[in-house]
Amino acid sequence: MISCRRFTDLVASGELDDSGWLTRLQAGQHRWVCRRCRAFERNDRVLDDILSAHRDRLMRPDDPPDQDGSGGSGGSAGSQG
Amino acid sequence: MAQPPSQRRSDPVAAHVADNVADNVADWARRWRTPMLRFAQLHIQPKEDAEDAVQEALAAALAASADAPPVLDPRSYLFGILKHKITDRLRQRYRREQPVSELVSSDLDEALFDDKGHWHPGVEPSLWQSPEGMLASDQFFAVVDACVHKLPSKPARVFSMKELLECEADEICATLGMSKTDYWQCMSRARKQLQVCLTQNWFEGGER
Repeated sequence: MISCRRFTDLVASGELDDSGWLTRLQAGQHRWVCRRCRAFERNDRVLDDILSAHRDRLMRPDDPPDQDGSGGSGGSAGSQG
Repeated sequence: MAQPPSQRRSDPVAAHVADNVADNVADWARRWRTPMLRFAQLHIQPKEDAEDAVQEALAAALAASADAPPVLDPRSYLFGILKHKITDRLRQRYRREQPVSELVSSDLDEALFDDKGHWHPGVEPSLWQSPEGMLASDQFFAVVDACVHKLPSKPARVFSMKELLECEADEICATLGMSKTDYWQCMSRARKQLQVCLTQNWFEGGER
């Protein structure tokens, strides 16, 4: 059976998605018997949600500028004009 | 494509369209420049290079908008252009770098696993409890940001291309000139370290 180290590598790297049936079977066996690695895998899935939300927050726009051109709060005055 | 001023004067409709396009892009620049720069700086250093990439993206948006239909989703449009500009720069900069295996040390795995590859006592993962509102918490994302910034440089580069630029694995390997095995190694290192960091600093830590 594969080790916890190998299992976590397969899961965290995404390699498991590209693996053949034998590796998937071995990973499935390991998952079945190892609650720690099951927890790791569940957390890794939650990490996907966290990173998706992180990405969205990074791409948030600044506040829209005032219509009269007096400037918003985004601190982008230097780019105007 | 913008028309020469003399031609614009004789064609008021074209002049009006061109002015609208310029106004739109100027408005985008005011609203989106800072988040675009923040995003670019995650991938490109120094800051001046990141600013250049943002400037190029805005200039490309201006050039493309004149002939294109109205943009309904400026965020996707501008970040789409910016991602290409960032990828181009990463390709030029990192293609001939040294192999990843030399740079991704196994110190983390040694801290987590024993010689047989089993979890060391005390460091094994436990299920994260995800309270309602965690994904809306500024404090939580400050921790996420800090954890991302602690990643070693090469895994961080691969990780941010995958998770933030949303590039496919093959594109990342081609851009950075690395093998698939190196790519997996970097991603494994980055995601394991992030899980450990978030566990220590949020899920089991006391920053809430």
